[in-house]
Amino acid sequence: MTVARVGRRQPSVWRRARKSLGPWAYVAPAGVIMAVISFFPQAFQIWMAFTNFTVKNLRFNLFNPDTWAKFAPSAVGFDNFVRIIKSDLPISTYDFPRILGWNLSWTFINLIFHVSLGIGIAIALNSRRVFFRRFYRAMFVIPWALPAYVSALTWANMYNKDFGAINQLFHTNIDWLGQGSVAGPFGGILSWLPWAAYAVIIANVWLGWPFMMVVATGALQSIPHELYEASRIDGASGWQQFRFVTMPLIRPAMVPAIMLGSIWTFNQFNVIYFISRGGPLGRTEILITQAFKLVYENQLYGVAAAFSIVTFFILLIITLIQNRITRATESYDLA
Amino acid sequence: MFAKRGALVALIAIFALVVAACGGTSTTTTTEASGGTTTTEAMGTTTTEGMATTTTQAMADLTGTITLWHAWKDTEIQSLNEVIAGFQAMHPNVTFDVLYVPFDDLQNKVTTEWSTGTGPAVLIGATDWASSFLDADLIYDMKGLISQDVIDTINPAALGAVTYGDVYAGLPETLKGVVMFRNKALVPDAPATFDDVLAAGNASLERGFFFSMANLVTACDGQVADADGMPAFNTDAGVCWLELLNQYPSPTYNTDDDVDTFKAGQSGIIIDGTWNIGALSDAIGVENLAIDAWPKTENGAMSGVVQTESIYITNNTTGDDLDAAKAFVEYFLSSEAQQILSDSTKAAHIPAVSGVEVTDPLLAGAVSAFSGGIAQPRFGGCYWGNMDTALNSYFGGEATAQEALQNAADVIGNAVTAGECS
Repeated sequence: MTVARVGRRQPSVWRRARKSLGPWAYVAPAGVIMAVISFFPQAFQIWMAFTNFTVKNLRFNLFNPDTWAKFAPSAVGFDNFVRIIKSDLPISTYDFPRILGWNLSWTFINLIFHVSLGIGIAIALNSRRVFFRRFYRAMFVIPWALPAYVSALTWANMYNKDFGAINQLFHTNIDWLGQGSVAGPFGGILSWLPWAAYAVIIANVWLGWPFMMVVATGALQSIPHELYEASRIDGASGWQQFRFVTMPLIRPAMVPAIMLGSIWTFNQFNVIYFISRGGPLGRTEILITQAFKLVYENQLYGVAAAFSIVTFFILLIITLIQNRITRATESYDLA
Repeated sequence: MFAKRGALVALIAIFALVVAACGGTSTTTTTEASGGTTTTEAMGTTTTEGMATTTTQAMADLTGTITLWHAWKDTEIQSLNEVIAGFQAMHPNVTFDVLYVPFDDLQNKVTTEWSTGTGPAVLIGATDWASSFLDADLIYDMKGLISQDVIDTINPAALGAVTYGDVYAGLPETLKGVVMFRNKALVPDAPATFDDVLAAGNASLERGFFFSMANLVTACDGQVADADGMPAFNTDAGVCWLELLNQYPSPTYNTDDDVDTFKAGQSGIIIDGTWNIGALSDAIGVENLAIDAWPKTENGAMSGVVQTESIYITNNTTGDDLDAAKAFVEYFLSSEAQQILSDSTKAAHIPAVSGVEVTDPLLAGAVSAFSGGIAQPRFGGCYWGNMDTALNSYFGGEATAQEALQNAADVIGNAVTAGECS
């Protein structure tokens, strides 16, 4: 075996390149398009993050040297990143640690509700004793199927203090989205959450659990019924069946869904922006809405580019930690 | 052979489809010389039929397309369509591509489009966007571009609002402002003092920064910014201003809730913009709507900002399109077009040019109220969000008046110093 390996010469690089010309030719069009529409903008954004790019530099065109002298921004090194971390931006409500803390809490709270409601309702609808379960499944998918911004705007209207459906239905006068007061309904450890935080969480829970239900339903339907029969014969209770049969078997489907859900929720722009607009006083701002405002309202394009990179690395770290804990990308051995 | 020919035909068909698909989604329509005119908008097609064609002087000198963006609403759009129809009656070979963009999105959208060489040739937008457009080199200097005879008709104060050194950054086309509306059926007598407003009991007053900042000057003898654009509101006058706003009955904050309650007959007094004249008179009846002089306060009077709205031409526009755009701007500022825009049942705009008589009682009331207001200060865009934050944090009990104002002044001052406040 060893002798055979030593005796066989590796083909030269040139020969291997020539042999792969065909595959390269097939891949090239897609590769070029990817480079143009994906890699170039990202590289450009990374460059912008190290400059003081503002509205004054909008006429700068990398491919037009005539614009360089007049419109090129200045390099500022890591200044944008430092200002972001130190909360030194021209926005009174900007506080990086607070925004990051809320963003993580928002993701965690939503995921707990999404997953528990999704799995719970999927199990309920998986029972053959439930009438019209297909109808219910179809109905429950509606929140997920609707465009998120439509749902968000509808919820925003429902939360209106004077004309909203919620206050009218419950005969209350709650200023759910009031922009002034950061007071919330609860004290103690929840005192930092204003009414608007509950408003956006409720809306996003409504929006997010159907996805988990759909994934859980698919996984539940693939579990052989015989496993439950066998466990019942062995004397397993309902909870034990769930703990030792259902959970392990839906886990391979749920873990990637939860990872996906955490990224979606972390970046859930529509619900925050269209319902609370990040208020009151920036208390429900998340990183993605703040990045948008840096571009849209403040026109600090260089800072916004740096902000997006910071957000990317935060998400990358979260995903790597999740991956480590859940072993989502490892294969499962059920035996 | 047959297969090759078939493939060739198929290729040509696909190419034709691609070319057709890439041909743009322009909503431009061509003017029919002997009929009505049609203007098309992104949100649907609005047709203005039966415009006077007998008076049309078929001046076929101008061609080209005028892409026009605006944030006008409801009744204002009717007037805009009439103005466009009037222009097309004179220049039938000019076509229009008109797009409504919500006001909150308009500046950012047009800035990014213009910077990439696309977007509208003509923009109707807020006057205080001009400095940002100038910084980014996006607009023409109107001096020399537009006939001096036309410029000479513009209200000098309004022209001053668009003058940057030697440059006219856009031209003012209307005066707008914040005024106090009253439903005469609910509040028969105009309140003479702020105490009368409080006594009326059903006022819903808007206290967002834009709607309330003029009170800092007229009721409290302060100012928002100094001549260098640095904050000047963090003074005793600023505290006086916030304390005045804190007394507002049923206050609203940068929403249309006050407008909605007024339309529904649930409030008798609101502070809002003159751009809502048409909608409010539609809702409660023109006979019930009044615009009052500003009530007196302890040390002065309440007031609102008076601002101009401008019409801009981007320096991306050249050739026939530029000639058409120039002619349109000149027509827009003519007494004929301004008369159309001042129709109080539609746009209800107060003309920015001389030679247009305002006889409508509501518009006359607005003009009278403007005399008690202040011209909108010229300061950078970083004031808006940070001042609203200051007001909110004070009204929400998160900070004292001094703390709220000082915090905003620090952030804005740093931004101005760093040149991030265009």
